[in-house]
Amino acid sequence: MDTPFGLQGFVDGTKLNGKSRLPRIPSNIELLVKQNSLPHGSRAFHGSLPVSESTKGAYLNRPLSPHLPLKKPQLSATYSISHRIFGAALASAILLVPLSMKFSTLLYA
Amino acid sequence: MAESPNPLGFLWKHVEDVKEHWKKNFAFVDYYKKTLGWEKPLPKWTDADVEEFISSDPVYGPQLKAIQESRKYVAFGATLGAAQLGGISLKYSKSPHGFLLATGFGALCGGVLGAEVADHVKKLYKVDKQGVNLRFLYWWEDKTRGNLE
Repeated sequence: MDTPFGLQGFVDGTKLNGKSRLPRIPSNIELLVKQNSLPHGSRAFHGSLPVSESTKGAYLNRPLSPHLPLKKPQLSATYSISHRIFGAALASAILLVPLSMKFSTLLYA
Repeated sequence: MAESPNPLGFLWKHVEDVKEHWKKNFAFVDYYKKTLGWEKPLPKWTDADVEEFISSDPVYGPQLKAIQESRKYVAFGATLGAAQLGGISLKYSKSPHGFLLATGFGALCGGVLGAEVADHVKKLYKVDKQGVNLRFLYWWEDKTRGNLE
């Protein structure tokens, strides 16, 4: 057994294995070579139309889906985010007060 | 007086009741007022001073010693918990921060469990732990501020 899975890519000389690497090309874009191997009579969908070499660059560099700077900041999203932040803070406070009470009596003198 | 001249009398009475209720809920803050809320902080004590208190006080000395020994249980439990959850996450987790969080959570859970074990082994559940710490603190205050003898 070599490097543990959690440390792969962080320890020198280790690489993520090929299976877990993200595919570079989105699945709905097919390359021209593949297009030629389609059987006769089948019509390609819009998404699988062959793309020219010049437009392919724009497709491949496009931002992926939860891309926050593309979206206009809205009040409802801000409420949602702050709701989660305050919830996490409140939960940790409720958990930490009794824990700190428990350990403070052990560590005092 | 049977009839209050204030038309909001009922409301004020209710507010007083609620205040009492919350005072009771936050009664645990009293310990922190007594330990941390000194106007003039006490001088620092050393382990030798604690030992002196333990040997001088026949009632609270042994209790404080038992509390000190229970720390070993906590440390052992925390080590065990950290090794257990940390080991599992090191084997299966895909992220380093997941490994860190799991190790920390394992240490926390193991520490709490170790403290519970110590409570039962040392019979500390019978002891007022905050009270013992306060006994030492007041002894130290008397000693350093010259109220003793």
